[in-house]
Amino acid sequence: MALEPLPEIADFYDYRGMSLGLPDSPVERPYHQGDIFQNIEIPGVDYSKEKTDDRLAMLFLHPCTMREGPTLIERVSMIAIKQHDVSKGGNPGPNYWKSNDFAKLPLRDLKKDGVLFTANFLEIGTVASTNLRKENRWACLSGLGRGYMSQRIIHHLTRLPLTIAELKENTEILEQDFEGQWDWVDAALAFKGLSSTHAKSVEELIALESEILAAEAEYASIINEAANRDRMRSNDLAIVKSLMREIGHERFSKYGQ
Amino acid sequence: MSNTFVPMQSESTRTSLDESSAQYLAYEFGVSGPATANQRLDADWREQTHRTNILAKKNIESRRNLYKKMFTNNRQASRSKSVPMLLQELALEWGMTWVDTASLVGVSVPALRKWRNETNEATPENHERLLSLVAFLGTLKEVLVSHPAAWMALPVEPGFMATPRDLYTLTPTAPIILLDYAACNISAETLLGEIDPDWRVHFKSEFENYLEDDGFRSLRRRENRI
Repeated sequence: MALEPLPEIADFYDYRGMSLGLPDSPVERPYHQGDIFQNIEIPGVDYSKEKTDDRLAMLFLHPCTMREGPTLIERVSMIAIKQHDVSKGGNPGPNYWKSNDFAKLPLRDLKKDGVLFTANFLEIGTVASTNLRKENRWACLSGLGRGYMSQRIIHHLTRLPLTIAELKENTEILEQDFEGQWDWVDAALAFKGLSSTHAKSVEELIALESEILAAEAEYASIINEAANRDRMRSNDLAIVKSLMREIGHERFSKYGQ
Repeated sequence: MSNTFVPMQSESTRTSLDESSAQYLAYEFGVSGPATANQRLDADWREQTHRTNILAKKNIESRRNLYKKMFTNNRQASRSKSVPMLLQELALEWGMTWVDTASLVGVSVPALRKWRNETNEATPENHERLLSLVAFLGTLKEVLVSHPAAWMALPVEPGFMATPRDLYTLTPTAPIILLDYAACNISAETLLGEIDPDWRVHFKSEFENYLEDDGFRSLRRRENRI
């Protein structure tokens, strides 16, 4: 049985790595499935054989279940990420993953040094969500990357080879909500002259946190109004898109973008 | 029917049906002598089908030229808009997600966000692609698609996951063929066949999305699998 080909590296990640100690991913971006964090302690996972002490782990939960209002639930499931053991047979090429090692998600060039890492679905644990600091977010998967991740996880658990397109359709409305929240936070901060793109230190990023939380709560109060929640759960994508457009206009009239 | 056999060119040069049938039968099957009544009827139907096909082909060309013109006019109307303005229009007026816009333009979501915040400039080529997308959505509205952004995300044929957004970038003429489909001139099968002859393989889907009783979207195996 073969899964879909591994996407190209440029299509797999939206953000990746750190520059001068600051993450490539903006802290305004909400948490999402597939986000990779460093300095995570997953109970029972042994990182002692790793070459570096990054202790990387990936946010596993489905976006539907990882939130409580605007923030993450108290404890979240994380998948351990380790350097792939290439001692037996070298570094496998992208085609290898179509029909091998289904319990792993390959993370090519995760650190932009050509080294292959993998998220191991056999090493999953629960951690306090307060440990997931956005200034420590090492990478964010793209929509395609998340689709590929879901395909491998579902296949690992059930052996059902769902296509990425089927999974994309299933998460269409979630993605709308995710982008809506991100846009709202971006606009609310920009209105006050704030943005992580101007930050020069981790402290400056951390200083944005309260503004981000306030903007996320504001967005959540709109989207969680009973009527809006019903529209978000509509079977008709046009209804969902109309709601998101209305929220977009509300954002524009309030924050000018 | 042979491609080279054209029994009649126009009304003015039209020969009698009997003559035409005899010509056809002689040409195609080497049948000589008087045709039977059924052979004459058959020849007449073939001739009519041939004429209809020629007319249909001309209609397709004319229709698609019209859609091309509408699309070009809409491009022209938006030409003075900057990249941030186009992005704002795509999001606020059309309800396009960033992830869909990025995939239709062929760039990443972070790139779009940088263009939107003017922290990075789009290349002239990408500006043109954004312009085309805005013009395409505007033309969809003109051919009476009520929610173009939602329409772009919906599969066109049951049992297959091909959506207009998947097809839009596959060939240079795909946007015009999609407009022809949106205006209900061609079937989903024709649309798919013209853009991707192997669509039955590339987009086949055994699972369908549905809304579960708890309000969450779910997947199940299709009942009538293809």
